[in-house]
Amino acid sequence: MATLGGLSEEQIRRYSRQILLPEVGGRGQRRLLGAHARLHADGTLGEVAALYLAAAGVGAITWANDVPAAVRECVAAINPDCRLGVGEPTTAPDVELELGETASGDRSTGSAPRIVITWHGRVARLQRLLPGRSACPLCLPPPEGEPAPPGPAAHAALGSLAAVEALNALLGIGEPLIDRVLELDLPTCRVETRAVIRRPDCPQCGAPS
Amino acid sequence: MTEPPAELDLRGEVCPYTFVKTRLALEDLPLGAELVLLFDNPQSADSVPRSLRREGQEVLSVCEESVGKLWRVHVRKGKE
Repeated sequence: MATLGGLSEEQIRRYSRQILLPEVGGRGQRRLLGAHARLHADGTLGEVAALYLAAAGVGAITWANDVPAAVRECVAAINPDCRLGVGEPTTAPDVELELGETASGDRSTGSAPRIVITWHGRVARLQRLLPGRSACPLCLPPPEGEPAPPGPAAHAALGSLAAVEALNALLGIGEPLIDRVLELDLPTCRVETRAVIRRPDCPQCGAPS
Repeated sequence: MTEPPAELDLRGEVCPYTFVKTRLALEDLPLGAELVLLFDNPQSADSVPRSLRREGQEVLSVCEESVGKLWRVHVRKGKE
């Protein structure tokens, strides 16, 4: 039963810390509860991202691929409001997350913003794409360096970062990683954000020849 | 005739929920609208008006109606 600001007593208690954030409040919380995120990610990356999206109160999460039952149970325990799905979503997502070594932002089909994490060698990259309107991961040259795929702990950190950017997109807050990329050099813990220019000749998002 | 301000009875509630609920109630009100809050714990009677002022809301009065038992806080929404 709704009590205040369209939120039930249970929801007010569950999300109280987040409601207190000036950039969220009751309106932002209601927006998250009505939001739908789609996940294209396997393993720790996707699992951690899903856990944090659910903890923030995102109303529906659809995985492109199946996930372990334990993870789904954990997400459901964190947020009983969250509707979980697998496969093709029945409603259009508000944000899509594509996370993985070969992610390029092209596995989504709608117009929702896409949060993409990928890595090349030892550098992980986080971007937000506006389909057809902003630079994609393939607009960037691959970074240099010896290959050093991130381990499970790094996967968890990257999954959390993806959730942060997805929540920023859903709430319309923060400085979006659109035409910008956050690069993490994992072995050295160097973090850098830099501009990305959309390449007209990009094999993915450039003009068709 | 001016309508009396809305009242939010927060007796039995504790921090931080007193402030969370106050914020939710204010969010739904138009700028300039007034709200009366009732508290029965001293921590909230002290901290909620302070937090409201810090956020740019106008605390019109804080009245201890029953010593150590009931506080009435009158606030006007001064900021979205």
